[in-house]
Amino acid sequence: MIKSSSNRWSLLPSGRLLFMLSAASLSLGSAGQTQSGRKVNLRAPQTRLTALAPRKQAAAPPAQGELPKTQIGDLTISKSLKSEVVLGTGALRWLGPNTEIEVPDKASDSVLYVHADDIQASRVGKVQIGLITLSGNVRYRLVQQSDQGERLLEGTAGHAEVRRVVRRIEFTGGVRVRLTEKARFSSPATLRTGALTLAMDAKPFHYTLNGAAGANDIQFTPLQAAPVKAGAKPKGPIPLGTIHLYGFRTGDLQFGKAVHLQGAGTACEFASPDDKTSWKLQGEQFEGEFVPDSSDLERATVTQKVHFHLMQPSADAKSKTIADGTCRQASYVRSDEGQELVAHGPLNIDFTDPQHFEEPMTLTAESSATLTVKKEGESLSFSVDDPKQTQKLHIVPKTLEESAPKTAAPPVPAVKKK
Amino acid sequence: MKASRRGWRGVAILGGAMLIAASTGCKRSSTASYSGQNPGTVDADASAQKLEGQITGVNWHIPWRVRNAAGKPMPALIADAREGLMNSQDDSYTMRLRGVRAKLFQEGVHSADIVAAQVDANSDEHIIVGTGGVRVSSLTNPPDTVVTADKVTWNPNSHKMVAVGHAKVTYHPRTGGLPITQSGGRITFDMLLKKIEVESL
Repeated sequence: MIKSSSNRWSLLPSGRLLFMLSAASLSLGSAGQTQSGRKVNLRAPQTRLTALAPRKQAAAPPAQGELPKTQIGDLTISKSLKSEVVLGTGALRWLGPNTEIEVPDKASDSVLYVHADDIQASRVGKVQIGLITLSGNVRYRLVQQSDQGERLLEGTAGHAEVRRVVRRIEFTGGVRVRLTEKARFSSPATLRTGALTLAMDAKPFHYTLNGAAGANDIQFTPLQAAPVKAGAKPKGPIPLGTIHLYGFRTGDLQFGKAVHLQGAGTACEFASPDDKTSWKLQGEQFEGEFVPDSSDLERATVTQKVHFHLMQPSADAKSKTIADGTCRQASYVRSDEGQELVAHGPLNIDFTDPQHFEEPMTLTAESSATLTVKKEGESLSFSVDDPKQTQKLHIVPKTLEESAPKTAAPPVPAVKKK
Repeated sequence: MKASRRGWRGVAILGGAMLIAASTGCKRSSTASYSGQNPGTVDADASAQKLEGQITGVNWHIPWRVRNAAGKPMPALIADAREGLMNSQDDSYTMRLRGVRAKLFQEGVHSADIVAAQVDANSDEHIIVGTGGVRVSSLTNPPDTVVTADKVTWNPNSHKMVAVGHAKVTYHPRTGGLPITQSGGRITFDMLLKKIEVESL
């Protein structure tokens, strides 16, 4: 057995091992040989025989349960079961049902958290992680701090792409969004669409929706102004309640600014929570404007193959006044005074009022005609303006005995002649 | 391509050097019991008492040189170990170094540094195992890359290095940008595919 200290080894180019010991000879089982009988070239000046006490290997603490975690600048990827990177290409991939990526966006003061089964990241131009692709059970949560408070955008999708260069997130594969913003909505807004692009460079965020008409749906309830005194009516326009937009194929939405929807069957519905008056505007193009920095719809215009429907229940809620018709364009405006709908001809409208009409009153008019519906308080009025006098009315009133004792005069449209 | 493999392939040289050292320094011992066992888990106390053909020492210095195509000797590995143990059984050679600091060279260029509490090499399995806290720093390719773990295993045959237990790798993408740090239960570096995989245990 050889036991030495202060020895130096050297591997000669020939591959033979040379023990370069200082001077003195080693203590060998037999001089100059190992016990196996092999000769070795040894020199050792101050060889000190020591016993190398075999040590128990230091037991490392158990590492079970360690989940992969990746940090790239301000990006954090965690909870994956596996991650892989191909050096040279810079392509990164994380796999696992609970894989989470945290993507801060300083410009919008927001942080995006996304869970997905498969996350891949790659370079785009000079941006190291310019594109993040997420697939499989995408669950996301975007938290933004704003002057009005926290905005929380959360939902699911089948696939998502985070384009950091242009600061956009594209969700596809059945997108569901729930938007919570206490300063803007009285309850969380919901979006459902086939594909959604979220532009984070816009302020507030801009949503582009795309998908089948049946898959697209937006619902939100604007925050209602609190009454100054208990029991008193709040200031401002009459609240609209929940606004429901659906039936469109493409859309652009920016709460606090505008909404544009396109597609045959695009519809907008809302109802006043106070008197239950409901409005429905349907057409191929819908353009809406919000009260600035609010989700309150201030005006809306529907064009091409327009169909509108207005329903107002009576005070006792036993009957309803209904205006249902078609026109070329319909514009809705809401103000402190009330609500107004202007329908541009050609017009074809049925007015249903079981209290006053035996059967629905019919109004037809050419393109020169304009129907204005005004709702001020609980009063509902209709007027027709037709310079060419093309309008035709068909009225079958109820007999006086039946209708007179119950209500006031029926709201027959007032015809203005020019 | 050859140059690109310089750094991590150099890591395997440490094991190769150790195996060569083992094969040239000792011969078979009829009582050695390391053969066929994982050196990292062997009962060293019991084995040491039976071994007669082993070499032990302290402050080992292992400079290994190779000749290049022109016949000029170049450094391939310079390793220092606080303690060393080498033995053999049958055709199997094992080496254990403790307190290891090694410099790896490729074509004479310093390409990586290794620091490990303990390194075991086994000629049968052709694997090198660093335990007790291991740090591998690649200087050339990939540059500025550091792997740390409780245990690191190099397999020169499969060209893979596996770091287990509190494993962490930090590297700078060749395409530039911020350093990427990955941690997890197990990190596998495939030197041929130039691929790093991080898994949970």
